[in-house]
Amino acid sequence: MDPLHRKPDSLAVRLRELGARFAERCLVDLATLERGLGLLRAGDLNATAEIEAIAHRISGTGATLGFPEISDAAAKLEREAGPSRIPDVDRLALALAELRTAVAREGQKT
Amino acid sequence: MASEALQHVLYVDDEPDIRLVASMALGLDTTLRVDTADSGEQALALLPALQPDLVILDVMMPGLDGPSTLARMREDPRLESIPVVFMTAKAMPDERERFLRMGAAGIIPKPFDPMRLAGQVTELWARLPD
Repeated sequence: MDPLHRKPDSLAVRLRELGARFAERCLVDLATLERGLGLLRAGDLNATAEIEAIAHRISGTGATLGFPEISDAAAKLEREAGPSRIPDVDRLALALAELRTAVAREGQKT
Repeated sequence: MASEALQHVLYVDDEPDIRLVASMALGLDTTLRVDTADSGEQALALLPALQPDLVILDVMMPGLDGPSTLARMREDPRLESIPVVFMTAKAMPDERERFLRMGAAGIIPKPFDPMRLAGQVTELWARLPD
């Protein structure tokens, strides 16, 4: 491992870099989630699995990198898309809209 | 175990950014060797040769998840005695109990604080019986 990684200040710098990358990637993920929602509206129930997986990743990574609002919104979307629920497109759309708002608001801080 | 210093950890997580952060965070302990794997399958392939002191497994992974990976380890005489710690966002008490009954040596909740992770792991290690 790069010895620089072993210093807390270097870790903080890398966390900021990763945070900026995460915020950019969220925009790409939002587009993918929108497509998934479109597929679901068209009757493809398998789309929920991809929505759940992406939301899970956003939630976990966001929480670790210091984006609690994005993480919480993604966790809500993950729950809505989870296997224990019958897919409700309107609820998913609402959760996705909340995630989009969170990304717009919190993603600007990077 | 607790009488010996923790020297070598395998960290397993499917999310590249989380894996990188965890690897760097654990590396803040300069005495620790940290290897990573991106899946339960890769971990099982690496473990016989690596023989780390401790394995840290993300619970939710595609393919072999954390609990399934632990179950496979316990079926393999080469890996059965390596302690496993789970990392999970589902750290509710009933889930904790379930993971401990499976044989997990401990649970670290997600999200983790990168500045504290190495200390948390070292503390868990120190509490393990010899």
